[in-house]
Amino acid sequence: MNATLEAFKTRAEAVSAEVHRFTGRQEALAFILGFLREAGVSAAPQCGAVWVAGTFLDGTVQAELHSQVPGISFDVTQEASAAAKVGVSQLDWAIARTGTLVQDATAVEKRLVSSLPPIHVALIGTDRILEDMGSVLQHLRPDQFNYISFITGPSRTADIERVLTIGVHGPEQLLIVVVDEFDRVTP
Amino acid sequence: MHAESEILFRDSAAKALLDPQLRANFRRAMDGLVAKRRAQFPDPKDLQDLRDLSTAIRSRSLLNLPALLEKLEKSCTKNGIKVHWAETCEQANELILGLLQARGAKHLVKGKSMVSEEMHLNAFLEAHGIEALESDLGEYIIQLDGETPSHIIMPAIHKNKDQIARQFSQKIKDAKYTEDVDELTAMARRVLRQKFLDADAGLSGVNFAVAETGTLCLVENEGNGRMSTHVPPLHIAVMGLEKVVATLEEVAPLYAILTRSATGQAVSTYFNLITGPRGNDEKDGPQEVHLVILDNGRSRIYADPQLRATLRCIRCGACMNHCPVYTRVGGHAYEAVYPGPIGKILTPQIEGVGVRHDLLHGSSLCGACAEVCPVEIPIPDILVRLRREATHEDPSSNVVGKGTGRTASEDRAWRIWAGVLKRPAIYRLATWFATRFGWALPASAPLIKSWTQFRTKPVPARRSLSERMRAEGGRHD
Ligand code: SF4
Repeated sequence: MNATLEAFKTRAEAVSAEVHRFTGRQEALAFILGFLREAGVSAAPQCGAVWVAGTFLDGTVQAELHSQVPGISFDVTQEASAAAKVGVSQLDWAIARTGTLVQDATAVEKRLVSSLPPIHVALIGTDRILEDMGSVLQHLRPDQFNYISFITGPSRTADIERVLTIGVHGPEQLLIVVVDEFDRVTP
Repeated sequence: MHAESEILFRDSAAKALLDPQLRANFRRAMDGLVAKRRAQFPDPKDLQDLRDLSTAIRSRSLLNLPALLEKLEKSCTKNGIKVHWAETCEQANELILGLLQARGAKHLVKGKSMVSEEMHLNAFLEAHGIEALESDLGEYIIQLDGETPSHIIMPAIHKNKDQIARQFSQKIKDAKYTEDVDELTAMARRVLRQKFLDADAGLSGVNFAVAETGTLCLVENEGNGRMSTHVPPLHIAVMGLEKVVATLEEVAPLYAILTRSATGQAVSTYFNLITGPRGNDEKDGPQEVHLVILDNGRSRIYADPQLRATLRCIRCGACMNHCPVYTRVGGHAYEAVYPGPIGKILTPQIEGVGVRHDLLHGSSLCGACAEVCPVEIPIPDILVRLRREATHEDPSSNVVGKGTGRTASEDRAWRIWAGVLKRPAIYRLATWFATRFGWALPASAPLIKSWTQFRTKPVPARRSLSERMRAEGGRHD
C-alpha cells in the first residue's frame, strides 16, 4: 500500500470512519452490493439506498444493480434521501493528513445523500488522495464551485458532558471505499 | 457617575461559586478541553509558528477591513448571494424578519451562530410569530430551558447528563427518562430531523468569509450546519463584519488553528465552503442565499488601533477554557452573550465600560488567555486600558461609556487623597497617625474590610520614610 493511502486510512479510522480498499471496480462494486444487502437495504419503506451515479458506474447497467439489490434508487431527491437507509456517492478528492474527503457538492443531491441517511458510503479513487488541504484547493477553486464539502468521519457531537457521540444530524456510519483502478472500465 | 443599570459580576460570580454541581461540571469539561488542545500542539515551536501566521493574517485582514468588505460584497453579489448591512442588532433583526415574511416563512431552523445570540434573534422572531429552532445539540438543550449559552463552543456545558435527562423527559413529547448520552442524542436527532424537513428557511453563522471569491466558510461537527444550509429553500447567513479574510489560502491556517484550539480536533467533521445558491437545473437546495453583515459597535472598536486587536478573535473559546475565573464561575455569571476573557473585553466595548465596569475587574490579569489565544489578542492589556477608560474621560477616545464607571465613593476617596497630598502639614499629621496607630485598626473596619475579606491586613511601618531619613542622617536634597 502506498504511504499516502496508508496515512489517509490511519487518520480516517482515527475519526471512526471505515476504510476498504480494492484494486478493481468490479470487486469494489461486489463489496458495496454485499454491504447494502447486509445493511438490510430492500424495497420496503425506509429501507432504500440512494445512489448519486458518477464515473464509478460508467459501463454498469443501473437496472442490473437494482435487480441485484432492490431498494437502490438513482433518482435522488430530498424526500428519497430522508427516507433512505444508505446514501452512496463518489467523492472528488481526499486529504491524507487529516483523513478528510472532499467533494464539489454543487449538485445538491450529493449533499443530501451524505447528510440525510444514517449510513454514507463514499467512493474515491486511490490517486485522488492528496497530501493536504492546500493541494486539494488547487483543484477545487470555490470560484468555480458553489458548494464544496469537506467531510472527516461520521457526524459527531460532544455537547453533553463532552461525551463523544457519533451520528447527530448527519450519518452515524461512514464507509470509505478506495478503488485503485477507479476510472478504468473493465469489460 | 455610576451608570444606573449596572450588572455586578461580583455578585453573580459569588453565587456561582456556591454551586458545587456547576463548579464540578465546568471543572471537568474545561480540564478535558485543555488536555485535548495540548495534545494537538506537541511542538511549541510549531504552535508558535502557526500562531504568528494566524495573527498576521487576522491583523492584515483588519488593516484592510473596509476594502475587503467591499470586495466581499462584490464577489458575493456576483455569485448570487445577496448582501445586507446592519449597523445595529435591531436593524439586523428587522432585516431577517423582512426576508422571512416576504417569503411567508414561519419555521426557521438554525445552525450555531453567536452573532444571532448577540442579536437576540430568537426572541425577536418568536415575538413576530416565527418559530426559530436551534439545531446544534447544545443550543437545542439550552433553548428548551430558555437559557443563554454558557460557552461559545459548548453552549450547554453547564449541564450534566442527569440534568439533561430530566429536561428531555419533561420537555420532549413521548420521551422516556434515560441518562444514556447516545439515546439522549438520538432523541434530539429525531425531533430535529422532522423540523429540518419542514423548515421554510435555514440560518447559519459564518466562521470566515473570503473576499476574493465571495465564499462563506462554515465549521461544524454535527451536520446541522450543512442541513440548515441545504435542506430549506432559503438560507440566511449572519456574520460580524470582522469575519472577512482576503483569500482562501488565508483560511487554511486559521481553520487549522481554530479546531485545534477549540475542541482539540485536527479538523472538524464538516467544513463547508458556500459560494452561491442552487443552480437553475437543481430540484432541491436553497434558491436564495442572503448574507447579513452586522456592525453593532465593531467599526468603533476597529477605529482604535489598540482595541482593534479585539476583532482578531476567531471565537475558539480557548481563552475561557484556560481562564481560572471562568472555570470556577462558569459562563452564566458574566450575564453576557460572550463570557470569559474575550467577553470581558468585548462586552464592555459593545455595551459600555460604565455599565460593565465590574466585569473589567473580574480578572487577576494572570495572562493565561493571552498565552493560549491563537491570534495573540493581548486580553490583559486591553482590560487594563478599558479599566482606565471606565474612570477617565479621555477626549480622544471613542470608547462607549468612557468615564462613567467611577463610583461616587471612589470619587470622594480620590478627592480626599489628593487634598491630603497637596497639604504637607495634613499629610505629615496623617502619616504620624497611621504609623503610630495603624496597627490598631481592626480588620473589620468598614473601608478596610473590603480589602481584608480575602487578604491579610497590611501593617504600616513604625516610622515613615522621611522620619527615618531624618533620624538616621540621610540627606533630603
Ligand atoms: S480571544 Fe483568542 S482564545 Fe479567546 S475565543 Fe477569541 S481567538 Fe479564541
